[in-house]
Amino acid sequence: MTLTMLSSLPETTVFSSVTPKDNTAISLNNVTLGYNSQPVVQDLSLSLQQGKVNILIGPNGCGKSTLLRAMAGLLKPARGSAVLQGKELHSWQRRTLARALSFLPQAPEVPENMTIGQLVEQGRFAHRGLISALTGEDRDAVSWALEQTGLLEYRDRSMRTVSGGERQRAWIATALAQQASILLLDEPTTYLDLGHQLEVLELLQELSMTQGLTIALSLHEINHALMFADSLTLLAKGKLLYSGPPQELVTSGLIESVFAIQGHYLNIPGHGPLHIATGSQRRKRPSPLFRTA
Amino acid sequence: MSNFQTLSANRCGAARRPKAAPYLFAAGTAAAALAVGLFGLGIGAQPIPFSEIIRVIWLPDDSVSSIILWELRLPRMIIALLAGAGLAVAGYLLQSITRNPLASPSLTGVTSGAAMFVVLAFVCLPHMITPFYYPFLALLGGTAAASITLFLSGPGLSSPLRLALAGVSVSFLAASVTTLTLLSAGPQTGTLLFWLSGGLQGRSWTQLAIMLPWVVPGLACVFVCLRPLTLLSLGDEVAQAMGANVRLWRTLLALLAICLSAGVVSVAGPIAFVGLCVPHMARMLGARTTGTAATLSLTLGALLLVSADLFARTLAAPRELPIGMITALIGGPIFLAIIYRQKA
Repeated sequence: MTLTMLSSLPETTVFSSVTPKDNTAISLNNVTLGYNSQPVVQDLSLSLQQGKVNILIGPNGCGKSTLLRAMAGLLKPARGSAVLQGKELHSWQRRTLARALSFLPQAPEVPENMTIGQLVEQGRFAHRGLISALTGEDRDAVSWALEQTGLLEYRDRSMRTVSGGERQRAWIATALAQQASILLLDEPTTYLDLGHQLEVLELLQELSMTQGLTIALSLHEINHALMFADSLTLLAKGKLLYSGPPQELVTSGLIESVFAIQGHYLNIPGHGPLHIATGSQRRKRPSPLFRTA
Repeated sequence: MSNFQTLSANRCGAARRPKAAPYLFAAGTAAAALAVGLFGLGIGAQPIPFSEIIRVIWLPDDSVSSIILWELRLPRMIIALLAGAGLAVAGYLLQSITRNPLASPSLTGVTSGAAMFVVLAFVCLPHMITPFYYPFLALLGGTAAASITLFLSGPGLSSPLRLALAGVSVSFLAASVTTLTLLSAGPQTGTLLFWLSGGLQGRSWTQLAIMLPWVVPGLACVFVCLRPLTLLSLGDEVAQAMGANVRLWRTLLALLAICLSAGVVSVAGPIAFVGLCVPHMARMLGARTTGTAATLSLTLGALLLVSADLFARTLAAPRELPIGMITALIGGPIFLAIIYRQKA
């Protein structure tokens, strides 16, 4: 395997993107978001591309979670609008909204001694009456969600006893059982080891390709974002710095400046570019990897 | 942390425990509650043999046993069963929606607030207030007290001890207002004091009729609302994302808990510890899902109160002990155990 080194580019201009309106699932228009009148995100516009994997990256506290919560209709914008199907998100009924989009918060609580099957059935809440039993349609949706996440045999396992990866897949299955066409996930790979991280991301990619789901998620690992994103969004301090295809972000050198790191890109043939961080900019330590180069 | 949980859960075999166990417990406790109730029917100043009980329940006549049974012991037993079930399920609801193990009708100030409103109305408007108004007054007072407690214990879901602290303060405040009102009350003080001391002495069909329309539909509603209750246990954001209007459901379920307590308090007066302890006992017996926990709370609460009432009227016969003393005797140690575990 030959590795080609791309030189890391100096920090350059801020990219702005214009996405065509017709293939957007959720659009945020000049939104200001915050908690207790403290703005976290200011005057930001972003559109989720329909049927694609949209990935949000950015340093801690840049507003990724806030943005996802706004897209899930859990946070009403102080200014601007968050729109789904031409209707502002906060004016949707929770029940109807849950059939159009599902949201998985970061590290949800582990339900006390619920089995995976029972948890996934909760995802049918928005489709069921208060006391009616599961219909055939409900059961099909639950089985489909379990099958997609490879959990069919784990149905009767307790959420307490399964591994972190299986637990995370169970939550994704719960979101899938909602049968919404938009899936929002806040750092779904946190607390997972590398193998499980890739497993979750491959599952999401597959779901968007085979089922046409619109997926938006936030990530910390830059390489995973580069590998799996159809559309990559870079945020810093509540501002949108870039939104578009990952390849262009690579050549912009924005990642280095935003995360304050020194880095290089490696090109593996048949694979997208990989980013290797060689040190932080803040401490200016010489990179041990490239010292002899 | 999660590793530890996995290990301990495996060791106890909790993962593969059959689902039926809590329902078996529930059926068992329900049978036990009925058995204790039937057994209690025969016990008192005038003992009635079991065959006689069955006979007069089947065919009431003019005999002394029949009158004692139909006018005193049978309604009292039914009230005890319903009151226990109502308080326990109210406690379970409050603990689930606040996700706070110390929440209960008494520790959120609901019972004292309810008592305060009833006493205030009774003293200020003596001619207008009949016992049929008690549940409405209790509902108002309970809601007011619970709102103050939740406000004082801070925004969102607060820490267990903070809620208990706020609840106890509100309870004391309400109790002192009640006492002050009683001081200025005239001849009614006796009736009120009797009611305030809590218990089922002298409660009969009239009181059952007051309580029934609140407790039975209330309990039925709880079982209709199990699904949103389950979603709330998954956390607010998850519940909302899955399509539950969290604020609406939480308010409705809190009101439901207050309705249940109001119905019970109006008839039996404030009885502490049932709502606090029974849900924990249900959990100790293996109830994990909302359905099993609610069912087991219901049956255990009925069993606890019907037994406590039996002790209250027989231990020091012919005098009656306050039923609150008996429930506190059972509940106090459990309460202390919860606090001890919270600290650890």
